[in-house]
Amino acid sequence: MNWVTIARAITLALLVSAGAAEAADAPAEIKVGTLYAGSGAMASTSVPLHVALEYWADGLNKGGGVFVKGFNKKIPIKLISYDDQSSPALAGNLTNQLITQDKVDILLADSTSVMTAASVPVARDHKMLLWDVTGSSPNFFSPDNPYIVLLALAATDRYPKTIADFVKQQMPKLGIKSVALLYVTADYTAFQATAVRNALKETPEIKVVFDRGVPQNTSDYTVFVNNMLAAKPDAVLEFGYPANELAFLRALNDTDSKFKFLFTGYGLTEQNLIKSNGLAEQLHHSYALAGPGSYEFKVNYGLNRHQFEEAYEHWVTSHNIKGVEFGYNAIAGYQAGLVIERSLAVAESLDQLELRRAAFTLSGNLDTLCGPFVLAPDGSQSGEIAPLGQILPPAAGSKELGLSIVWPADLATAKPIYPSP
Amino acid sequence: MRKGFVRETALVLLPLVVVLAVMPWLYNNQLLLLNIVVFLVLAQGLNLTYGFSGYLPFGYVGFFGAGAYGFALTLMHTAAPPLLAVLVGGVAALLAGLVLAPLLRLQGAYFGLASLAAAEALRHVIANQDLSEITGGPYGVRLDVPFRPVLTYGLAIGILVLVMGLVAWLRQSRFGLRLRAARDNPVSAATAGIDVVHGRLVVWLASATAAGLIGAVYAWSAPTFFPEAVFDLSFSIFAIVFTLFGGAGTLVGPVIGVVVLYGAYNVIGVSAPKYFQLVYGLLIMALVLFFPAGLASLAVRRRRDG
Repeated sequence: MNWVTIARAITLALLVSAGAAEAADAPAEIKVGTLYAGSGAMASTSVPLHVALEYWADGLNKGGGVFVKGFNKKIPIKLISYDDQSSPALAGNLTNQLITQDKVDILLADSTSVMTAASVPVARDHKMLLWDVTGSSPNFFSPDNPYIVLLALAATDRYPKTIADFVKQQMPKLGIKSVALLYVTADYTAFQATAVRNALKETPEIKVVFDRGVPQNTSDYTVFVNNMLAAKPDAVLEFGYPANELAFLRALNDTDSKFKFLFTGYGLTEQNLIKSNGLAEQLHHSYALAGPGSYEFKVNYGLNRHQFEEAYEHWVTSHNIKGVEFGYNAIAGYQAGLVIERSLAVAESLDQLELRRAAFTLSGNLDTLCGPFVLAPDGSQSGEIAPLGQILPPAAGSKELGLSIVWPADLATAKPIYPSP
Repeated sequence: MRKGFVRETALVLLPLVVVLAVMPWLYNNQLLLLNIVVFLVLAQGLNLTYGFSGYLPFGYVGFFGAGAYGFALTLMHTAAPPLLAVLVGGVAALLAGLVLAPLLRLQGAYFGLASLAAAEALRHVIANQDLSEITGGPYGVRLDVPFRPVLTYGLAIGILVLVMGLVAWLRQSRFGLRLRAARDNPVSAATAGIDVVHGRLVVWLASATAAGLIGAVYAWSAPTFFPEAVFDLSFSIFAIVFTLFGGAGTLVGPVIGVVVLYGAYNVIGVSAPKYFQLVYGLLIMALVLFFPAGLASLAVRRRRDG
């Protein structure tokens, strides 16, 4: 046996043992822990998102799991989900449970800022990266906290840019002289109302004739609708969560009220939910931010919107899941899964800061169903800003509502129809 | 009095504190442990007012929220250390208790509903958009305070000792006896020379301060929060249910309530959340049907029968 043969044998032995060690080190499953609100005020946003995560994990597992670069192999995903019942106190406990008892590799927050807030300090304390799906409050992000990334929604101080710009630049041109603001007093919705209010301050020709915050659990908007009618505004801008939108539109329907210009926060993003509640007609000629549920952002990874909608609805039906509609939250859940999937394909290990680094490699390179994925240095989302759309009645022979993009100018497909016919 | 006080604290308070102090070494979900202590304090705080004056405040969470915001606003607007801010949280709740003291003129369901309305009003004042510069408004608060789970847990246990010590003292003292007499029959008690209003006010303020102090500790443990989180009505509901389940007016009752019901809440919530409402509902129905005075009444019944 010469030296070359010996060297070859040693190299082969080293490679085999390294491979064996790698295989031995690879976990049997990647534990993805998440919270969702199965009941309570947050259920309408949280459940579709959670179902989308289940769909994503199921799809990956059917193909052998998620590819993890650190182990150079596909590993099945185990989705561990707890129902926080819309209680922030319980969400904090359960986040701790996921970290300390279940020892998850990937930690996802429940949807909305109120619920995410409970998980932020716990994740930070345990040095776990929090994959924040829609908790967009700027309060969560600071340069000294590397343990959070926002996935599927622009941070709340950036998200309302389109509507604020429209108020300043287009409303005076349309002849709108008075505005009514109605919003839910929660971080996400109040931030949007503030953005509009600030825009109105810079537009002296428009007067605010009604400005009212309501609790998130408001289920009857009749009084507010009547008060707004009495104030005779040229435009009404309403910001609420999906359950609030239903209550607001129901009040319009029940009082047979109509405004010349109506903006609703979720009119487009949760259109299917609104349709299934028989309130689609109230949306005719109204305006809403054209989030990914209605506006087709081009993607460079995963399914496009039409494909995902079809696949999601098929999955929901085949799993006999009731009362879950396709909409923004479903897309947010799917997108969260895709970002995690892409990050695992890039990360050298499951170390939490390495996972953060991997997520940052996607910033500016990933086009998602929610728009371009762009992370600010503090982990907040700067991309994914929706254009403003006007919802049109169905065309003759169709049952589907139409949509024109009216702002910003470079994306606009039509001019706004004002006043509403 | 001294004998009874020592016996109760030795049999209930001391073992409880030892168990709570040891638990972090046995179970590492420290936030869950902190929440158990939070609910123990809230249940005992509610026990102070309901058990000794008969007033059941559905809006008890208002004091908890006032304490959390007292803590937060102190840190946001002054250079005070967090421990001082916790005290300010207690004082904020005490002041809220003083402002709401006229509610004690109401009785029964009227008082319960008025206290609930007061808590909601307080929440809306804090969440008011126009006060955003001061309170954070609907955008909530983010506190730049070091996350100290061991310290906050220890602090919570300290507050629990104070509150339970007060309950034990009231159970054995003449003042407590006068309070219970006024609770059972205020007219007779007043005729006998008992200052009914003074007694009610003292336990009402003590109860408010307890909730405020623990609200401040809670805020320290969750330094980013929104008004909805600390004025969440479920804090009131849990405190009431735990107290009634175990037995109001006793020292051990609220402890039983928290251990059994909050334990069940977390076990079922994790293992079978779909059945949570059903199991919880059945437990409470069983309580109302068979032990209307709480589980602690079993011991009293046995002592009387035996």
